[in-house]
Amino acid sequence: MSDARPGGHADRTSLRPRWSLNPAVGYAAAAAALLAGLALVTSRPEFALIALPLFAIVAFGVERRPRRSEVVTTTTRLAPDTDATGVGYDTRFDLSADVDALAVVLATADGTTHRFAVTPETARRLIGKVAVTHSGPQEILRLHYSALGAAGAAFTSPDAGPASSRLVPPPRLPIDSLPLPQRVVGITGAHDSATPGDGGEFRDVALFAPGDRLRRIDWKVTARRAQLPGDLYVRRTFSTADAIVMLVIDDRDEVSADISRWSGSKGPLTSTTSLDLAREAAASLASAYLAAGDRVGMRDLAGTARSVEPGGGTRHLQRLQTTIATAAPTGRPVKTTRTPIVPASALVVVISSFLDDLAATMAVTWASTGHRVLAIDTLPQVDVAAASREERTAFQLLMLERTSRLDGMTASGVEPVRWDAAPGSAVPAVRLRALTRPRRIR
Amino acid sequence: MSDTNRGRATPTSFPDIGPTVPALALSALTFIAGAGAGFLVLGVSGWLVVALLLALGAAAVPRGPFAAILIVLLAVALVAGGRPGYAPPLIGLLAAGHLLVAVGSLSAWLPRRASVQLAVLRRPLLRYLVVQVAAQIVAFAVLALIRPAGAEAGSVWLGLVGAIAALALAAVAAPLLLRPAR
Repeated sequence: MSDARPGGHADRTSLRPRWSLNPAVGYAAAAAALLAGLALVTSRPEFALIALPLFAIVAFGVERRPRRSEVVTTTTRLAPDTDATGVGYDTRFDLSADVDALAVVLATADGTTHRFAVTPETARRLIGKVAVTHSGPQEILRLHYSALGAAGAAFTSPDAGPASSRLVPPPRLPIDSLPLPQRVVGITGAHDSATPGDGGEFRDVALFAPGDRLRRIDWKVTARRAQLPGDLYVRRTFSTADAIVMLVIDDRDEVSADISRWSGSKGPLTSTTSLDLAREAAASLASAYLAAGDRVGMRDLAGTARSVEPGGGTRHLQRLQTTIATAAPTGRPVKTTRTPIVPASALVVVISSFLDDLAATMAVTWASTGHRVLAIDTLPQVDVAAASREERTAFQLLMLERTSRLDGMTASGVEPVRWDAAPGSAVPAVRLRALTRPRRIR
Repeated sequence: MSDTNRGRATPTSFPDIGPTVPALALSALTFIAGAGAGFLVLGVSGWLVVALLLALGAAAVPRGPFAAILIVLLAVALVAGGRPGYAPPLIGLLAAGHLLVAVGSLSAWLPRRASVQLAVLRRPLLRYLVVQVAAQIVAFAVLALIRPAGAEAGSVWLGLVGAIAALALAAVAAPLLLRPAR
């Protein structure tokens, strides 16, 4: 059960615990009964004296028996990661007076499981911070707990507390120079255009014609050039235009730097993955293009994130950021995917690891239909140290195919950019600057 | 997340609960208490091996009957050994037997690799001390007034067999006694 409260979203569970006898105390009670019987039979007080502390333990347990009607309420609130050091959590247990101690098993997003036992006073508020190494939907925290009561004579079965999840937004890298599409469209926007209109560079001075605005009349030129009464000269300009950018995210797979995990995850991925890089690239490009006044849209190939039509503005950026953050693989192989429809004259940015042919084929198709296509390569820098010989061989074959695929795209006019640059090579912002070239005026 | 998180200190997701001890320390204490009591009561003998095995079982499987069987075994061996009076074996067995159950009840509940906040041990420690002081006083008072009876040969086996039989019988009584109140 979860509810939203002012100042933070809270995840809560309220469960009635199932108390059971502590086996150690049960056996101790049996031993005490036996010793008491031996004391009676043999008339030896030593047996009774040794049984005395055991009877005391049982007596304490009887005196402090827990009530079945009591409920344990667990509430967890997550704090936003404002300084990139991690997501803070605040977990609170509301326990009855019957509880002597609480054992907690805490599984966090960084792949760590903590096991600890605390007093009820400490359990009223547990605070920590979880390092988040990935963007997108994350289960930040999951906990189980068991209470000890009746002076140690009873404890509860482990119960599940609330599982707290968070949509972690990807970071945005600053990008100064941005490549533009082959053509800019529209009659208003942030870029110069070759179309006659308002708002752009000076074009020429011509005689007034129907349709020209009166405020465009250049009286100085009219006074100099007019030969007949009624001749008026106007200043004409070019219009401005929009650039449309379509981000196509290939979120069908998510691979990490450790190739031994490519055939199936054996636990949480702790290093940066291809999808982390894809979200980062998409968020950075979307932010940069929208700040420049262009329109940005989004498509994803796995179908998990909704499509976003090209738009601009702050709200549109927030919508894009949220949609980019939700891009995630479905966990099942995507057999067929239609080529997404992109607007004419759009710059298409294909963000993929290019481990198979689908994204590359789409990129080549768009390039052949006249779009300018950028291929953002999001495969992380790979570590083969932990891989077996067979895995390294398979990886080399895969990389040969991938290299051939990338070369084929480049030959078809697609411009590649490696996002996770190797040490010593150009970072993405520098590579994008190299792709910036004068626009073609139509 | 390629460059933005590099160079920053990784925060710890473990909450700040103050000083802790590992749960394995309690298991070790269980074994030490059982082994110490066994050595004190049985001395170096073949039965000491049995006692050590039971102590190991109590430490490894705290939810098992090993601690209870060990206490009954040592009690019968103490009486059968003919060492009457308020002597070190009785004092040690009284303290160690109580400690076995007190620590064993905690170990039976805790996750094996848990970190135990020191404050969790405060109440059990206070209960142990209060009960133990009272039990030692009562034992001294009783044994200083009553002459110990003679030893009976073979009664150590009686202790083992009787313990196992009584466990089955008391398994019915104890849950009824300790069921949660409505």
